Amino acid sequence: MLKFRRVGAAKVLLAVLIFVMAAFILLSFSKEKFDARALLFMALTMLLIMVQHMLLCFILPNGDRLTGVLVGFLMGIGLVMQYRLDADTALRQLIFSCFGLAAMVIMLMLMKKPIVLMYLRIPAAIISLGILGALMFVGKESGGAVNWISIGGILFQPSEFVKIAMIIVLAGAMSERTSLRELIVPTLFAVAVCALLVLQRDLGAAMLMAMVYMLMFYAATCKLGTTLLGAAACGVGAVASYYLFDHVKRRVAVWRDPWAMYSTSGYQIAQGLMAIASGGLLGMGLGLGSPKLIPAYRTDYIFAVICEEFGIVFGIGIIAIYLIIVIRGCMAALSVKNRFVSLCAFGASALIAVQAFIIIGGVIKLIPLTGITMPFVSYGGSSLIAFMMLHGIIQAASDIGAGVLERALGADDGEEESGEDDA
Amino acid sequence: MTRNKNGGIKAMLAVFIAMFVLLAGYLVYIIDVYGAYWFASPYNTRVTKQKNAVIAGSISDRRGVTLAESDPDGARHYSTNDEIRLSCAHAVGDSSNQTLGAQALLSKYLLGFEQKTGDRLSYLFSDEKRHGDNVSLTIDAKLNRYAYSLLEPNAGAVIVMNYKTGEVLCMTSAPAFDPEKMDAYLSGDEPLADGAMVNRATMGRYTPGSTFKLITAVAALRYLPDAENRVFVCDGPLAFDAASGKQVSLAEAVDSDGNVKEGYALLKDFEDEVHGEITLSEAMKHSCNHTFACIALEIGADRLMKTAESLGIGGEYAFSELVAYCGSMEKPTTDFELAWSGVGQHKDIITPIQLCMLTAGIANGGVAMEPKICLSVSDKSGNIKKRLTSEEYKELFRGNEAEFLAEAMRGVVTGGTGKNAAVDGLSVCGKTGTAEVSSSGKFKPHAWFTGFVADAAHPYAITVIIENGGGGGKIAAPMAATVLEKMMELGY
Repeated sequence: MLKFRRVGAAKVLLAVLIFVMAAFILLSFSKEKFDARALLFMALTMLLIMVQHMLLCFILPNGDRLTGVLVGFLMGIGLVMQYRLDADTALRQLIFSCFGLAAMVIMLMLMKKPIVLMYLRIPAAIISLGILGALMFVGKESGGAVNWISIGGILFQPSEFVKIAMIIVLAGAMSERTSLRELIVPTLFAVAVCALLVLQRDLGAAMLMAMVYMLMFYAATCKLGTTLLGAAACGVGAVASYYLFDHVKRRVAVWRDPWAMYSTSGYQIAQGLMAIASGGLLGMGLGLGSPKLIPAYRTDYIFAVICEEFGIVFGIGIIAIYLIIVIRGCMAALSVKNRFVSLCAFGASALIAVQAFIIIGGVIKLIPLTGITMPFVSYGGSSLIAFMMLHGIIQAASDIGAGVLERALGADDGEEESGEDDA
Repeated sequence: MTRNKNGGIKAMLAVFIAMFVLLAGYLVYIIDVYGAYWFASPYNTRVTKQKNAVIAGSISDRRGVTLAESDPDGARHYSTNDEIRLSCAHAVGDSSNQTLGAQALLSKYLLGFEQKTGDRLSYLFSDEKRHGDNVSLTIDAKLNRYAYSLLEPNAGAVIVMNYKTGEVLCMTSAPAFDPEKMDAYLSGDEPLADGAMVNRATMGRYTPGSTFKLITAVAALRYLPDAENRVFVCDGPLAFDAASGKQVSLAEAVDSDGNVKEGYALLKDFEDEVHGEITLSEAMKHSCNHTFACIALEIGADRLMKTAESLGIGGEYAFSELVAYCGSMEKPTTDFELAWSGVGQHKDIITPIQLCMLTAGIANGGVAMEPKICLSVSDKSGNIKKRLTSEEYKELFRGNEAEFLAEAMRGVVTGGTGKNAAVDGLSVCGKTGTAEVSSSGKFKPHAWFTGFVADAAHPYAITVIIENGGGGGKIAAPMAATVLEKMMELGY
């Protein structure tokens, strides 16, 4: 377990860069005229991935390099797909990625002094509730959910950042106390956040928060009975929202048989399934699919687009990469002595895991579809920046944990194991 | 840091691993089961888009007879022989995918979706239009044409399957549409016979009549003790109270002249036969309604339904190369309904392909093979890229059920209702069915025959239905025999 840190990350980084390069070169030839801009994007994307890697190496001497590279890969495939779909949005995504890097660095700095973050949790909770409450009145509607806010002309999706606040609040509270009675305030906070999200029709985010709360509660307390009770309460809430809200009912009906209402609500799911089926095992080839037939192809449905063009083998590879990131995030959480940092890292891993599960599961019709982004890959500034912050938390924890271990052992571990498969 | 505290994180880590394994597993599963189906969906505009960009591959029968091909401009042409074109119309499909034939279901090959990315990209750089792959069907056009000519002018279907491999050798449905006239049909310039677009062989939902007795017999074997050796007594019609549906004694329902009294209903045998003491296998041989109705009454609606469900009635087929419907059943609520349900009336429904698969399962020792229509796929220069791969569909019959039924079905052809299906030199086994479709007697019943050849050298199952054709033994059985004779002539 001590040797997992420096798993030949350099080799994997090389593979990722080659993948990105090949993909953009292919894209530059796939139009009628040679597209030089693709090569510029190639250079910028490769630079982005390398800069992220170097930043992590520079700031964190003992950070988890492989996770960093895999996150870089996910961002890279996201940029390749955005460029393939639309060069202009790809440019914006690239800019968001830079902000994402900055946000990650800020998070790394904050995590160096966990005590500061501990104190920040109360204002973060108040601001979160305030923004979510305000959204009820000033929110902009997008895709059936009122979860956008416009500040100075830039659209934000505050729920993305509320997730981080939620993790810090819960980690802060749970690191000190473990009985439900003592945790009543953070629990009420979580319930309030979920309720506000449901009212704004942001079902995906509500489901996500509830699941993350349960996972963190069990991880912190090991109280299976209480956790199951909470899960049951969530179940009751879900059933109640099914009967209370028409949009929930429709989602479930569409999930059960998207083909029956193909021309209306079932269109998106059916198109996604047809896209995946058309791609088959090895995909139609980059640039050869018809991804724009699917609504939300840039954001929620990016997984179907990837499967259409790269095949389900690649799709399974992406699922595996999320799993590796999550496993290593949890291992980082296990390695840290500081309870607060440990729970933060666990919460961040849990959020990535649950969000990836909810959206991929929704796209492949395993569970009812709820519109949330695919971590690191989907188009969207708020989402990408928030996930880079979560990545920062995991990285910081892995660095702290490794430092603790290395000091304890008084020796450096050699490099071992070969890289994982990616491209 | 206690172990206990980290235990929570470790346990949740296991949960995450399970979640992602579930995701990946489900993705593989759902694409494996429904992928071809979704791909071929008429809603999948990727296919239509590709149609304009690609010259679709040709479709030929198993002997290489061309059934459909595209000219260099991309226009699709079908067999110039009218009889072949019509008899194979449902198997081949049409250009606009209004029907679910090979053109729709195998379009991933025909339009080159399965070609390697490299091959596809190489077309991008050449001036040549991209060619899809050519497909050979398992269908024999000659056999199809012959079977279709036998059906006409009646409506109906014939399906022949190799029960060892699942290859569909003959699949024809009458009346058929002409794929060359699709536009004229859609604009209304050309009249289209009723239901001509429906492939009756795979999608025709019919009352099974006595062919359902195969299923009732399985129920008897499963739920009645020592059913094989038991002696049933067929002593004439069964009587029911018409209002309540309860079974009553015959004496109560019939007056002294032998006429049915007001308020009562009878379940009689064909031509009012009385078979006396009879075993299950003899009851099958003579298609004794009395015995099978009594079996249904004795085992009850639940167990009859359960047996039918285990054989696929009320299920859903998701074959990769064929769109096919399953039959269905509605739970009988009274004795009267249950008795009729046991002999394949009431609201029992079956499709010819389902009956053919049941028959094939009996012939193949209980295991039904998945029906296959694609014999091979080859590229433009003739290199074979994919060959038929046989797959087990399901073990439908357990223990000695298949063996028992096969023997009983042999009896049907050697000395029972299916005598007309006998072919010299072949040990044909089968079951006839005469499905009543109008209580007033206004329409003739549907004639059914389903059977198989019990020779290792000729492993074929055949199902024939002629709509409103009359008695199964008289009309359908001889037709099945002629088709089998034709097959021997063609060298199968």
